[in-house]
Amino acid sequence: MTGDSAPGPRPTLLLVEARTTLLRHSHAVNPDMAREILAFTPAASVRTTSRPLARAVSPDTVEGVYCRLPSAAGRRTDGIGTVASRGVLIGGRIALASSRTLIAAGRPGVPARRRGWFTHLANPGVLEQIGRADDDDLARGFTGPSRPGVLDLAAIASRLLDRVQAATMLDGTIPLRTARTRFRFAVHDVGPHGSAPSPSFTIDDAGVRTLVVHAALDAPEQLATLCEEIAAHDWLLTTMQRLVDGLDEPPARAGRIERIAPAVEQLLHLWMPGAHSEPELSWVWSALERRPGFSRQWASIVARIRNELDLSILRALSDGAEPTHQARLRREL
Amino acid sequence: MIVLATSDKGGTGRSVTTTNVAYRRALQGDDVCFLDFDFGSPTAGAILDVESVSRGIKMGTGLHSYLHGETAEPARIDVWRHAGWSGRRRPLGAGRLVLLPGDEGGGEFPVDAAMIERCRQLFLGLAEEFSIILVDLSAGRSYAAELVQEATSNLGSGGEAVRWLVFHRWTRQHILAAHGLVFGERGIVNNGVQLGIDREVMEDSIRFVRTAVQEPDSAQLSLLRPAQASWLQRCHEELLELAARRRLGRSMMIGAIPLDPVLQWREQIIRDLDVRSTQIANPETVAAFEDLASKLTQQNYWAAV
Repeated sequence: MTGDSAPGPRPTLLLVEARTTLLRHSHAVNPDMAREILAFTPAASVRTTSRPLARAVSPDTVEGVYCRLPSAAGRRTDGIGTVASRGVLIGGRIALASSRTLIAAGRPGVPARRRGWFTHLANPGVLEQIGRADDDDLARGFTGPSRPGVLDLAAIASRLLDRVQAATMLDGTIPLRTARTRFRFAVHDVGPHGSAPSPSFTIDDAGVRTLVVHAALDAPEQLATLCEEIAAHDWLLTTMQRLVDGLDEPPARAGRIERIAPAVEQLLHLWMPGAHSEPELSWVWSALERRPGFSRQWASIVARIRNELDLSILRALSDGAEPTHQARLRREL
Repeated sequence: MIVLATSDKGGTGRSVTTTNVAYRRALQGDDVCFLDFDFGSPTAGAILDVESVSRGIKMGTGLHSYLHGETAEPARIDVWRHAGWSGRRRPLGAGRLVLLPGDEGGGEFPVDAAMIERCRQLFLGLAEEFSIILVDLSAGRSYAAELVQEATSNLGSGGEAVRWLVFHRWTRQHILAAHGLVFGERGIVNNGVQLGIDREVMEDSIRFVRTAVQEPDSAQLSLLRPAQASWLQRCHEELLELAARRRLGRSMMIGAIPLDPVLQWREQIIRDLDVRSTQIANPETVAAFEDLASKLTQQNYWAAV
């Protein structure tokens, strides 16, 4: 095959989709086990960090794609190249898979065409755009309702997450039922010195979260890490909020502590916004803290759980019972 | 927990009972999903009164398309939000109630290894989210039933509990047919054994549900002539004996759904309102649904006796 060795065009848009869930295991897995779970590719190594919170990241798996790109205006634009995906375990407890691709417009003056697969494989995680559609159009298409037959990062991420969850070393126990969340992240290039409008975070009717950011695209992996971290925190918020909301509804009154317990024991300590993101990207976190106010919502959830435990301790004491379980949970807060 | 609902013959009220059990279980606070695996004639949408999928979903995103690898994720429908009778929102204290519809015009299909794997992944993914996964299979032996049994026999370590509900009417033919479906040469038990499941475990995971039952002493039969009544009593006793001989006796039975005019005339969800206010349905029917819904997870109804 005759590869075109010229460097490809400069990407101007990064699309990432992350799927998040609870690992199918009775307790948090240790770093060694995390490494085994994520060892999809022989010889490539799983990266782990333990501070301030355990995190393990699989090597990228790369898939070739040649498909339509999501244009909000409905333009016929194809993309050819690859999607890079990886699995991530956070705190040995949250399982996440993300798929990402950079979109590079065809070079000016050079008609876009299919080049040899070797060329595309040399640039993992880059799609070359064939046909016209501007970045805004593509980003809106990507974050809008999904359409059949269009680049489906969600499906690729989902399959990878299925693979993580099917790892044979997992014991298959599900300590609490939680829904998988879908998080879409689009980053427009601003170049190294460009100014960035504030990020916009939305949740649509189908529960899909989208975040659109303007940033320099020279380190797509760092942006993917940021996306994964935000997705994991959004999952924590979603899961805990749902649990707390359910506490006030009538049939659930009995067994409240039993329902809170697994979340308190397994999830509460995982809240650590920005722990693994690069300092240059901390402004995205700051913006999310202002609106929608991630940590404010988290603090209110934790306060609600604390009150619930305090009340239950008081009730137990007035009934003459020994509230050891509640007291132990209370110490986790 | 994965609950597989099947019957040997059609017209047993399997689908309507299973959907009502899903509804009751969600009202009791569990997150429930309902999978319409009756590919020849998807009916769950109609029973749940979700207009847009009354004969299956149209966009090619249903379970049938998913199993064929044509869509990455099967469509999901929030029943609380879309059912005609619902107030467009989840009742206070209820869990989620989600329908995964079949495709309109889906039909039966032979099973291949890729399909079994997709089916397995589907169950594993749903189990992360839902505490009760109800699967409505078609009547009789079908590819869909074969597929589901194979996919659920291999869910990995610590996997979800898998339980079968076998529906049959209270007649001689139905009892014999249900016996064949479960204990026959190519029945569910033997299939399970071939898939590597212990025979005893397999038998412990299967229970029978009698439908359209009229107890001889029920009020509905109080107008019978004495000759009819005594004949009915004799038939009932014969059936009890037959059921016991064919291993469909008391210990294997987990529910009996009384004959209810509402279910005869229209297969639908029966709400408490239909019993208390409009009084179109019988309280015994709702009680039977609730009872079956709660017995699904009570171990003592599933252990060997």
